[in-house]
Amino acid sequence: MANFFALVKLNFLAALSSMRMGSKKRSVSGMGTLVLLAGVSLYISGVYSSLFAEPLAQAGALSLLLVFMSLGAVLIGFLFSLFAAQGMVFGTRDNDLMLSLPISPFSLMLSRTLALYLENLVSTVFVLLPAGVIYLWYGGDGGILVLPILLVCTLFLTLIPTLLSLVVGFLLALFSSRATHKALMGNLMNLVFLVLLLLGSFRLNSIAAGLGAAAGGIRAAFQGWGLPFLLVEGAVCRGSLLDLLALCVLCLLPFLAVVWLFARRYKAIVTGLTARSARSDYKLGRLSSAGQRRALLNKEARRWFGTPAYLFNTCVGLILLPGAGVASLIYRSSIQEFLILAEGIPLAPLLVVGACFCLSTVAITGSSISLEGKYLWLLKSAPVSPTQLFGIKAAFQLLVCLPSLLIGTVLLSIGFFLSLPEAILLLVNNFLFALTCAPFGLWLNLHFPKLDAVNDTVVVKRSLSAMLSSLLPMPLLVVFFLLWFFFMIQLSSLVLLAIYAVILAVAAALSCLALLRQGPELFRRLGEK
Amino acid sequence: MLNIEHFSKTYPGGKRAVDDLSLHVAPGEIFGFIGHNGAGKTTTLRAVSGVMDFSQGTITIDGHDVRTDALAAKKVTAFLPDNPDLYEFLTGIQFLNFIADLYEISGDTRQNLIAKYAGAFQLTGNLGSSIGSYSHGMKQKLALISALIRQPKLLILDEPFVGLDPSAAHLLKQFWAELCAAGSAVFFSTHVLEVAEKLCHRVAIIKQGKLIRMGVTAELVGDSTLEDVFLELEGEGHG
Repeated sequence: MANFFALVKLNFLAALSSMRMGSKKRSVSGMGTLVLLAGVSLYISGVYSSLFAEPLAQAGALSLLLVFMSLGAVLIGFLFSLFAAQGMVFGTRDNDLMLSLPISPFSLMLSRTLALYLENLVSTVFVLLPAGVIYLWYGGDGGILVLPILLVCTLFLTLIPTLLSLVVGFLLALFSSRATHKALMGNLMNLVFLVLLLLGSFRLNSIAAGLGAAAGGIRAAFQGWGLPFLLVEGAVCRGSLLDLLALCVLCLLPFLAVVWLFARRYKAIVTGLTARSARSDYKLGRLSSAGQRRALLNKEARRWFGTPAYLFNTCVGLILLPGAGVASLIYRSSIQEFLILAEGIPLAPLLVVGACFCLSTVAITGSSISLEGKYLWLLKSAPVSPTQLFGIKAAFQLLVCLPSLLIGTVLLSIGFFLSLPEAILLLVNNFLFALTCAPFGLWLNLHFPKLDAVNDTVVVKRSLSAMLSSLLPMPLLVVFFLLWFFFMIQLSSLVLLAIYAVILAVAAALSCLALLRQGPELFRRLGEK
Repeated sequence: MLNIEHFSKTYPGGKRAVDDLSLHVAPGEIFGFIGHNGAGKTTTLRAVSGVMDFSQGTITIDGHDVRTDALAAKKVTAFLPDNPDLYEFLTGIQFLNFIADLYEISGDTRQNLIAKYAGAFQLTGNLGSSIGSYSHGMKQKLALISALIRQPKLLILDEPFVGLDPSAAHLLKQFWAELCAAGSAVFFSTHVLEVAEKLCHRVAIIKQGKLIRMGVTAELVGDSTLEDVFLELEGEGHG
């Protein structure tokens, strides 16, 4: 048992270490990122709990707040840990060492899964705790025991997103380990899960839209698949020990059973993942030179396409933006009716906010330096200047964004009946935002590099730089939204778009300037002991 | 070819890894750098190759200062660390092409050089496979090929014989001799003292960051062996 807890501690420390803020700032440990995650969860929970609480309290169904927020906590945890399980549980670099130790595969897998669980626990607690406080604020039943019981429920509820992520990770690892072209198979599998995830979220939206205000209808909708959330309601609001016990059994038993089941295939999967297909019949043909820039750009492309975790954590926005454009064409007539109703209110600025939100998720440069990791010596000893290297890395992100940006912008412009000047300004704004994000991500990654991660997944999903490069551009979008909200009557669409463009041009210039001024020195210091 | 003048390196935290090191390596020379673990060999090699920044002393390669004229210095250098990690998402040939592109080697030249070195190391057939599928020794050979195709004026290697099979090690020595005959120089660290004694025109022994002995190998060794000299020097200061 002591061995098992030592393993859990080791894996949790490894997870925390993956979030650590670079060598210069060791004193600020990986806890910083957990605080960030907790903050995001707290914010989301605070906003939605307040939003739901009042109408639910008026309808006499306040306890449903905990049902909704439990579901929200599970979804946030699942989204956060999805695609991470494969790397954290199956793809760590210390597999050889661990498998040679006298530890059962079940213990090893459980310890690694629990590290994932502990991370999920942070987001779950910080989603449910504010919900509990707001529930009490609006006069919910249960009294003083609400929060302690809610915390106990959280311990079990967190097992659900962990289990779901584990299943996804297992399937990804299983198929990848059997495939000859692992990266290709990984990419295809990730694509399938991404599509399923998007379809699932659309289904949830339709469920939420169809629930109406009737509490009975809502509860009926949660029967079956949503039983754990109803059990949380029963345990917390009615103090039902039976519900708490049922929740414990319902979450814990499947979790342990699945871990045990997967552990039986653990060594085979891990072995399969490390085995690569090799051939020995290569014949040297005619070779041609390409130049430094093209060589570096090709390398970036091969890494992006060859690392499924990297590709699928940075491509969602690339799919969403043209997807939104296609949707706007499909619902063009509805949009036209809405535009007639909302006459005078400029919508093009809102399209900038939406499109830029999609682009902010394409944070390729946010992990680009960290992924050099053990290969850093190659670039540092090569006759390539840091600025040239930064230029290539930023250019790659822009190149990846451009097709999606162009298609998305054109389709949205048609779908929303934008005038030509509006469409051009929308395009300019989107491009300037992409131009801001690419060097900004690099600048962040140089400040908070993670060069010694146990695998690429933790760099892409868990490193501080990767998270910040997606989150930090958001305040800019909030500013844009507020500008629209307060000035939509006074200012025309074109004026607002022009103001955005000026702000984004300044942001892009500052971002490039910061990278060029500080980047080379930060790059030189990378990898120093 | 290589001039190191009063080079010192202190790591964050205060550990002085190298203290006032001065040495030079002449064209056509094979220079061995010897010392115990943590003596400062790797730190020196990393500074020379431009991988690590430093603030005290000057290092020039073929007349180019590695700090102020870094790109020119790197252009004439090939560096291999003790455990060279290569991009595992590339195939062997893609990696060699990548390196050749960075060093702006023409298509015909790279083709001839890759054919020569990959053929010699018996790696040609494997060049189409991803580097992730290579064994440690194959990666080591690929790294060596990537260094040799650059035809560097200064070849810097950290423990180059670790992981190489005897025939590959033999080949490597031959290629060094070829390079040196063409006016290049080889600067390498090793723990294999027999190799250093047989191969090096000159050796330097470093201890706790300080240079404690340097000279022509034959003169330094005299009637003894390099191992005896090294152990004797290592023993000094231990009572």
